Amino acid sequence: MSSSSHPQPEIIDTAATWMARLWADDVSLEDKQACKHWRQQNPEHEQAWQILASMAERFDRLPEHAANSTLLTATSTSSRRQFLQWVGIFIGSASVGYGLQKTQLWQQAMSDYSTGIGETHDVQLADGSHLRLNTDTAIDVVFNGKQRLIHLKHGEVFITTGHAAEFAGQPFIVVTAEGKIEALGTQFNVRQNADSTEVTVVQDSVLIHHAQQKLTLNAGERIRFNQLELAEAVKADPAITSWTQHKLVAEQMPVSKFIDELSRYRSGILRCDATVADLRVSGVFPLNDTDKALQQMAQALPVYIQSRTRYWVTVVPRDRAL
Amino acid sequence: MSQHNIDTLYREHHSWLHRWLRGRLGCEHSAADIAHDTYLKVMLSNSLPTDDQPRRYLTRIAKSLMIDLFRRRQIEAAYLETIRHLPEQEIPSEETQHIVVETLLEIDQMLQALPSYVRQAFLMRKLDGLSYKEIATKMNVSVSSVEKYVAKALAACYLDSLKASS
Repeated sequence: MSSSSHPQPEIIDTAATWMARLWADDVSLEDKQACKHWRQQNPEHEQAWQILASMAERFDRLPEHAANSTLLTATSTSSRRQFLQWVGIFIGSASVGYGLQKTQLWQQAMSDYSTGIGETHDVQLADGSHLRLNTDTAIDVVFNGKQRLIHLKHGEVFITTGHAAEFAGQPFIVVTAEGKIEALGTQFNVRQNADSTEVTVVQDSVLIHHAQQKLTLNAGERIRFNQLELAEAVKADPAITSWTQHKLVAEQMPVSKFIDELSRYRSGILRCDATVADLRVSGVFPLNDTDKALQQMAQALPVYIQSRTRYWVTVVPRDRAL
Repeated sequence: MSQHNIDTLYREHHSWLHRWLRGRLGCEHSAADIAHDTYLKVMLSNSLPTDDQPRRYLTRIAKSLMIDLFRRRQIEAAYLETIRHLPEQEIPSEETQHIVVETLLEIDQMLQALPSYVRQAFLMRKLDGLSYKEIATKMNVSVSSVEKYVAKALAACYLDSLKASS
């Protein structure tokens, strides 16, 4: 059949209505005759009928053991739910059929989370967990029905785990390049450094999975591990999560470290001269205004902020200032 | 679409797309397949990204392919579970299994735009061989509604075939 001779939609609908009638339990002889009459009325009617009959015939091709509606219906409902869990998104309406709103579905479902430099972002997950993403962070969320996985690709995230009943028994696990952190009902911070992971527990505890080792980290403790080794847990600096309030709390912090920290929150090059690297800085500095933070430091220390452009800043000794 | 443009799109973004998919799927093979299919689809559709965000364009296509893959795995898994319970001499050959899964996917595709209750009524009639009255009881709707759902599903199959052939 050429595509130019498609029957009108009304004819298709009528043909479908007739076929559904013929499949009814109480189909009468009159129904059958009326259907036959309709088909003979017009060649287009007959054509639509024939095509519809061949469509319906496809269903008969299935062998008996596979002719089972649950193969498609059971999976279609769970498919949607599992798919959403798989990507970690909760959609309020439970009545959306698979594929019905495919476009919206994947647009909403497939968004992973990330922040640009200097940004933070809050994410609420289906299980009630709350994530706060720090600057320059990217995560993937995978709820696969067995586990709740957060893949921290880069950056830093502060997590308060949720306890929705339907996710009970599904471990909440953060995966980094160097290991896994399993939450045990918790509030904790995970930071992915260039070649190590740093975990700080604020509330309750987490289980660190590193190579073949497992280690429990309790509230108030911090640990660092790279591919090869798991360091000893140390007492955490309570200021480690002050970034969630857009603040950098420094206590006798070497300028080199201070600069490294600030540079996470701004674009371009930020460096310090070797001669000032070991000076110590203390105070509370705004992370959402790093220019101001630098000026604040320059007031407290004998240093000068040398800006060739906004994107190329060097901290030099004040007596060497141009 | 010029050869040059698709070459550029491939050269500049293929390995990025592959990594992106690998990160999501956690599977090297599926990631490579979907990356490949994404470019294939771009070539066949004969349309290059019009905006200046080719990666967004590529991921949009890749995501729809991921959903198709996910659906395929769901149906395969449901079917394998079914045949696992068959007596050994009745387990179909691998070739038959393959054909069955393809047929199921084809049916699923035909019905995908329909509301779930319409799909369900139709599949119960056509696959389970239930009468309208039995379906009505199971779904807790009237018999005449079931007949309407079946007609609606049939018309949708027809329209889907028109789309596929055009």
